[in-house]
Amino acid sequence: MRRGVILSGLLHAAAIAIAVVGLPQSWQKIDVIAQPIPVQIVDISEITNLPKAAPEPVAEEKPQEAKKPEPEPEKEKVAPPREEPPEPEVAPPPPPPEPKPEVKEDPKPKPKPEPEAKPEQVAQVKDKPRRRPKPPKPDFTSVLKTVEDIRKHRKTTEKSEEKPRQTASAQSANNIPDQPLTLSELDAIRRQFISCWNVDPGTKDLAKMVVSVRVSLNPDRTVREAQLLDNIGAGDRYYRSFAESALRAVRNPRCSPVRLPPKKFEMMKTFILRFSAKEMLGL
Amino acid sequence: MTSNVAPKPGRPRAAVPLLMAVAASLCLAVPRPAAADLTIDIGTGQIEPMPIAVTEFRAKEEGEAARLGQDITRVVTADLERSGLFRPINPQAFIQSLPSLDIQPRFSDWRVIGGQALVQGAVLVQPDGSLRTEFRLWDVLGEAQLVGRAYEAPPANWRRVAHIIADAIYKRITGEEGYFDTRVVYVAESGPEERRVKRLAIMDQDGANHKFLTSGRELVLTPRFSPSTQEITYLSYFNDRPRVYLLNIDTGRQEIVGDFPGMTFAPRFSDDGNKVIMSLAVDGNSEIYVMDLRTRASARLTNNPAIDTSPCFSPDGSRVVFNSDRGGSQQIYVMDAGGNSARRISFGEGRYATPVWSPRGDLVAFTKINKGEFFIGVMAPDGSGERLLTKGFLVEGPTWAPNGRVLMFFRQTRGAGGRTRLYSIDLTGYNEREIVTPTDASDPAWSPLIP
Repeated sequence: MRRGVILSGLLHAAAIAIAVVGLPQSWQKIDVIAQPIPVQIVDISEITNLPKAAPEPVAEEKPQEAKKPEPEPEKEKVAPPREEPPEPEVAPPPPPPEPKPEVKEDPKPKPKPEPEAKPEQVAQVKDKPRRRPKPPKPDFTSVLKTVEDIRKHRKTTEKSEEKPRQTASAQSANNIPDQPLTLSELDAIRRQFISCWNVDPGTKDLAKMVVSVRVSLNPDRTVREAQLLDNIGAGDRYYRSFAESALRAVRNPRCSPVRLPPKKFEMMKTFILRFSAKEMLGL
Repeated sequence: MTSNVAPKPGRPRAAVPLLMAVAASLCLAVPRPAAADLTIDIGTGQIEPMPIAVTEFRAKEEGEAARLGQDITRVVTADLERSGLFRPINPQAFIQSLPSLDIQPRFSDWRVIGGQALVQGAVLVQPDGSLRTEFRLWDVLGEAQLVGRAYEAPPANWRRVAHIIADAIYKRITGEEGYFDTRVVYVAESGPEERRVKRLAIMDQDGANHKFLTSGRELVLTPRFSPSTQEITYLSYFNDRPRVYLLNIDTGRQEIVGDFPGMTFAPRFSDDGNKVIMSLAVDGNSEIYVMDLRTRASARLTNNPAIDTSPCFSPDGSRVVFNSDRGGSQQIYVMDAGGNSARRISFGEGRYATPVWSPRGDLVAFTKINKGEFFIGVMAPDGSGERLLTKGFLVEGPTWAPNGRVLMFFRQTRGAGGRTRLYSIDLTGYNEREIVTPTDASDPAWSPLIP
């Protein structure tokens, strides 16, 4: 009996505890949901506070007040606020013009060495950078708060949003650990390169062949360089052909730019693709 | 209560040190991967022909050279296309024109149209009348030259020059030796069923330059090319006596290979061309014999009451694959070149016949008969990895291209008026194509690369 009583008592207590603890949590969660909206605005405000950088809470309040007229509709849609915020504040306008020319200049020289300035390709390159700067902003909204904080620090150090992407190498240390690539993102990259890789299934000893290629990306996520990591033996021409097919896959225009979320560029500036036909051969 | 609860946390506790160890090791391990790059495994790809742009082989002026240049371009393109490993891009899509080899390709122009390889060529009729043909093969994506060569030959040999160029391209891209500069000898059949005329015929691997080698008075069977010379061996019923003959294609000289007491058939050369291995039937029992063509000395390799036939040397000459019903049904066996340690390698359903060892050494091609259907298949020399490439009412007589990559065989369609034609197929089972012949055709044999 005693045990039964004690047990039931404990269970009741536990049930009450769960109710007490759980219900407030749900309320809190609702609060939490409400919070992110101001946080988004905070991002925008950061641009204005570039020099100050230190007090985060202050930064949050100021931007909210200052932008409330314009940003209210923007809360839902992320893109518009970003374009607008720079305009009202005097400091930001200079940065946006600066990065734009940079973006255009950089991509042009890169294609030039390879193709010799085609109208079509140049056009493509121009389009891409224009689109790219936009996506990073929306990504911000979806990113966790902690990541945003980290980005604030970045911005303070490097002023504009677009610059960091290009000069990203210097800042890489800041955000790598927080956002490993998700499985689906890895899969997207894998599927992209699978679609670019032409395998000759009749190659002799195909089952034994593995080749690794280091892929280096430009900030616009186009492939800058493909480097073989394995030594191609002078003797085995089958292996050389296999390795060259992997290089062609990496250099295939269909696989450039790499389907990588722009915000993950930092950690994937270089990565390794290891090609083998094991799946294809059912190994 | 407590006694029940305690063990549960107890397990996690026991696991805690382990978890900590794991966590610690992860912490230790993390810096290294951070410094190293993430590795993504690509375990499969596309099986598609490689897009290649073959630009016209240009001559400096109009006339014969220009015409030859066009012909060479056409043959090179056709060779590459027929291999199934290349997809020539329609020249109408070309953006840049490459009138001479002095002009460097603008790789972007070729990337835009999807090209991965680019062939650039030129022809020139020299003062002495010979035709000089040059070409370069470019890696469009890697922006580098892969091969560049020049050939001089009498203009009449333009077709061989084209095949040799196609071979060079094929070899550089695939790693395989080429097979375009080769010929095929086969049995041309004509006439009604009861009075079938069978003649030896020879043609280029693409069906061009077709000609008959024998008149058709005698029945001929099983022609086989020497792997090292332009000689063929075949079975002829001259004066109604089946004998194995040797024929030099270039000189037309014909001789009998040993005058054995019984019936000899299914001859085949060793890879060095010095020996012929064949079957000899005496009193209804056929055994496998090998004969050295230099000394004319022959030796028996098998001694078994069963029928042993269709022998074929491995490319290194150390082993022999053959056909035997010693186990009760027709199966494929492998023995060493001295005739010892025979071992059955075919264990699938049905009967197996006409084993042919790949020049590459990694596969044995065969004909399989199962439930009334014929198949052409390949398996590893140890019997593993059997794959059936094609099937039909009657498909038979596989022969390897000299690079061990492509098979040719003949296919007969059902019915009295069924046609019998030659087909080629990639060892992957893709890209089956008919080889156009003027008459019915059977028993193809692929030559080595023409020296």
